[in-house]
Amino acid sequence: MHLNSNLIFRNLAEGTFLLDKTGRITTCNAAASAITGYDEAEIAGKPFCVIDDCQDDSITHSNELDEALKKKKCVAEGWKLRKDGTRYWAEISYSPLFDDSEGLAGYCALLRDITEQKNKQFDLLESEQRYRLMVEQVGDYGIFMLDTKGCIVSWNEGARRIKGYSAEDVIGKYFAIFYPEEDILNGKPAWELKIARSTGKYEEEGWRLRKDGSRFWANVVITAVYDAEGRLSGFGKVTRDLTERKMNEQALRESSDKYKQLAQELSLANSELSSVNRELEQFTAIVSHDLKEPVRTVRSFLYLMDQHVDQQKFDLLKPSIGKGIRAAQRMHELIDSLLHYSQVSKIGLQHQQVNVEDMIAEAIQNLNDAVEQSGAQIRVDSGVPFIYGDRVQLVQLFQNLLGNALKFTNGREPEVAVKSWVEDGGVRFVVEDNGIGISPENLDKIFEIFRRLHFASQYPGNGVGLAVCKKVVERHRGKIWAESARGKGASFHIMLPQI
Amino acid sequence: MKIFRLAIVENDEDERFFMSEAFRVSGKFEILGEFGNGDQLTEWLDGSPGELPELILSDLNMPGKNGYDIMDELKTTYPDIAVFATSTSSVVSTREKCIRAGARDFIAKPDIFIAYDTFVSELYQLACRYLGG
Repeated sequence: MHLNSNLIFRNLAEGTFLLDKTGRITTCNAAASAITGYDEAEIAGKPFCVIDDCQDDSITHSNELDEALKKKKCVAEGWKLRKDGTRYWAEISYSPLFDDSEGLAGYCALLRDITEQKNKQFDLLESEQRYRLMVEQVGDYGIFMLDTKGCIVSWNEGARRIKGYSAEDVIGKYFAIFYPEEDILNGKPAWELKIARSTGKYEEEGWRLRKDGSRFWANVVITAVYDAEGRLSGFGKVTRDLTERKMNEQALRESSDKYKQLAQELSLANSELSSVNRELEQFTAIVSHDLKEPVRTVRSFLYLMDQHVDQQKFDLLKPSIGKGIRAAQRMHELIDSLLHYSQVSKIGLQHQQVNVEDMIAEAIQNLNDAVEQSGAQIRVDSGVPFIYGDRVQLVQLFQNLLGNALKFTNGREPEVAVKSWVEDGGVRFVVEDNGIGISPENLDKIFEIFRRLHFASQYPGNGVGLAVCKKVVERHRGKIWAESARGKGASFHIMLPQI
Repeated sequence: MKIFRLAIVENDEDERFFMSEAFRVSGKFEILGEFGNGDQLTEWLDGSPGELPELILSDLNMPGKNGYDIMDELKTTYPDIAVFATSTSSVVSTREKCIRAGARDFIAKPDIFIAYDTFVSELYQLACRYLGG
């Protein structure tokens, strides 16, 4: 079969039109008719715009033809109408045709129906647009994009609401404007982008700044965004304002702290009450035992004297009177001591700086008579200049300890040492003597009130001194204990807190 | 009539005097020893006396070893000797405390120590009940 150009033209699968140089259709092939719905006879001689459903016969000229002439080729796309009125998206490629003497002979227009392809593109575009619209309108989340350097390129409604900036305020600015000054100084914004770049994502909660300078507690997610070739194209940043939640948490914590403190105060008050209660019980026991005894003795001797008088045994009166007086005297002393002991616990405890050397010197001064009578040697070696506490009570403490050291001597000249040093964050005092010592089973008992180890005829006293010492030390949140080896004297140890 | 062997521990000399007088006058007790505190009592017991007391009457508040110390100690050293505690206290908890510490019983001292006769008969009845008349 002999191939000529006409045959090729007719059989081309592409819709092909030949136009004269004014733009009117000369001819078209079967493929073109299949697309447009017009057969060749219907449209020959009509302007090419007939495929746009253009009824005006005079419009033959078009920009596309001009451009094709100028650039030798022009490709255009657009909606066209078929003869039956249905729409299709056409891609038309125009080429100018020249004769042998390079004069314009006409145009060739190749028509392709790319509606299907185009629809897909439209769908995609539409979905992207919808998506963008949606993002733009989200109010509870600040969603915006950063370029690779961290400059803001998009801004949504949520970002405007949360941060207070309009899109015009922030587009093009570096995103560090949302960070508090200390974060900027620490290079935090750049660091966050670095993390997002290397791991794909950065997430945290932290304080951020609004436009008005106020802070809000933000949940922030920065996501690295890559293009189709896998190159970093920027960052997506989603910010939520969690200030309210943060405040609630804080309020909860504060109220829980408050309750804890309240519980602590209650437990403290409770333990104070129990301690007062114990003291009250102890007081009852003291009144029923120790104070009743001398009263009973006085009463007994009065009855006895009554009998003596009845029996006319006047010579027996005198010794009974003497014993009654001594019992009354003991009663008096017991009451005084008990009052003194209860004062130690009642009076408000002072918290003052007390010079240790002065304190011990005052205690020794108060014992001046006993020191002179016994010929005691008292060595003071204080390694701690100051302690904090109640000066009057602390002087009483050392006066009682030193008084005991001078008393329980079995006739030997007392040698007493008072030392102090810092130990385990507290202050340790030791009062050491060369006296009769204390047997091990009595080391704890000696601190009980009215507890006495000796008969009054041997070592006078009323059993209150060390009980007072214990009370003073305990009120100063300290500990007191005694150590002794038989015949080698005794040492009293006190640990007090340094402040 | 059963006569009980008794030791008295009381630090107040006058009290002890009237106490032991009342026991002697009653004829129901034989007093083996009188002591001023627990230390003196222990010293005597440790010295292996010819005869041991069946019961000990002990005051509570005394210098040195007191009544509670005696009950505590005799519980292990002389479990066969019955200790009876006495004191001026009339508080109920004192009696309970003594029995917990190992005493057979507790008798409150009379209001005045020249009136020990009722006290003596009371202790005799208790002794009969616990030790058998």
